[in-house]
Amino acid sequence: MPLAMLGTLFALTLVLFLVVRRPRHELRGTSLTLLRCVLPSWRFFEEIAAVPVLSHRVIDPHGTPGPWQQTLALPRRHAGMWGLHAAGNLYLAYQSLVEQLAAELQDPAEFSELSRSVSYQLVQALVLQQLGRNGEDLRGQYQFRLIDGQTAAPLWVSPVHAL
Amino acid sequence: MELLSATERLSALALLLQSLEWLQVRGVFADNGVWRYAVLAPEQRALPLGLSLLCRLSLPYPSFVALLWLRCAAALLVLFLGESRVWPVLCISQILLCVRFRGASNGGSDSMSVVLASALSVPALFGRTPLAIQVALLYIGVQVTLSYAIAGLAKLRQPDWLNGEALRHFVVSSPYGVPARVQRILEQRALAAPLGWGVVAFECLFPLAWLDPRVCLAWLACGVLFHAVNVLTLGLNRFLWAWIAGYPATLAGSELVRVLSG
Repeated sequence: MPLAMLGTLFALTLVLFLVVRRPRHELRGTSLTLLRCVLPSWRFFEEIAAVPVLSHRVIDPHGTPGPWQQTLALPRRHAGMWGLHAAGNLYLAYQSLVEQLAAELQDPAEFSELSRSVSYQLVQALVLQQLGRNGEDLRGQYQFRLIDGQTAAPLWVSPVHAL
Repeated sequence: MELLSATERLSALALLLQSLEWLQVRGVFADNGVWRYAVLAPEQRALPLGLSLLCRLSLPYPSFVALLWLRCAAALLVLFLGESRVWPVLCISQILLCVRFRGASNGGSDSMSVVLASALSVPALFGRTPLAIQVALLYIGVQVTLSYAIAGLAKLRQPDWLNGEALRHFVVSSPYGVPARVQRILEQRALAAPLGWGVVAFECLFPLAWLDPRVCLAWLACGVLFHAVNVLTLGLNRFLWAWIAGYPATLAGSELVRVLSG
């Protein structure tokens, strides 16, 4: 019987392997995207992909741009993080927001109405929150950009917004 | 019944910890926070009418915080009083939470939380009959197994996983802030390759847990170790609790197979 069971498990795993070999399909449609948690793909850390990093800069009222600053800072780790790691999970949620924007930027249809995109507005709110938190002089303008986390090559730069 | 109770309590603990974490940073859901409802609301109109209405009622700022407190209360009832009738509430609130984050806040752990809460709602809604209990536990056990097997088989297709490059990449260049000491260890290709193989082998061979309860226990012990290492290196604490909550159900599945196969 264990042999029959082993055979069944092997056959099922083989079927699964054939299914996994098929290319991954992104969910289309707002409704499906919002409910994607009920349709798990379980394909974690599958392949190496560029990790976009968000940075921003302030442009003073005279039009002089300041240095680019990384927007998200890694939270400090602590012994209690086994149970509660709110800052760490918030950081990961922010990072997926940035990755969602990066994915949208690759879609020309989304790109044409970027400033109306929800991801764009949320990332913009994230940048503004960080600017406020850093106690920067909130006069003038600001812009943000995405760079490749590995090569630091710029991927995209936002239009300039008023503060 | 004991395995159902263990699944319920561990699942409740996982959902309680998630809710408490969001409550600690609840400012991000406020009207001037990053996930401000006014920006999110238009997208939610695309949802089916009932769900869209539920979102409009529960996801704006003060209501959403109340929803998180409600989740804590429901999870505490399961955890300390064994009250299982609250699972449908926890299931719906889990889906609403994911919608609030436009699909998922924490990737796979959100999906596993939905799996746990939806399956445990079956005995809560249809009575704790042997059939309802078996359906709930089997569904969770199968999803836990699929989560490892699919993740492993998908990695098996990638040469980068087999030569250690992928593991090095995720540890060294990922946004997870892996401790420098661990980074230094995994920068050595001689170590990264066998570790990469180890991860792929553990995940791909997880279906073996269904062979026998003793094999299952050994595999689950490896699973605990695997997730503990993930907490230490990648800081993924939610994965630990969500997956461990599904382990008693996986054990129940392997016991059922043993009984069925005589």
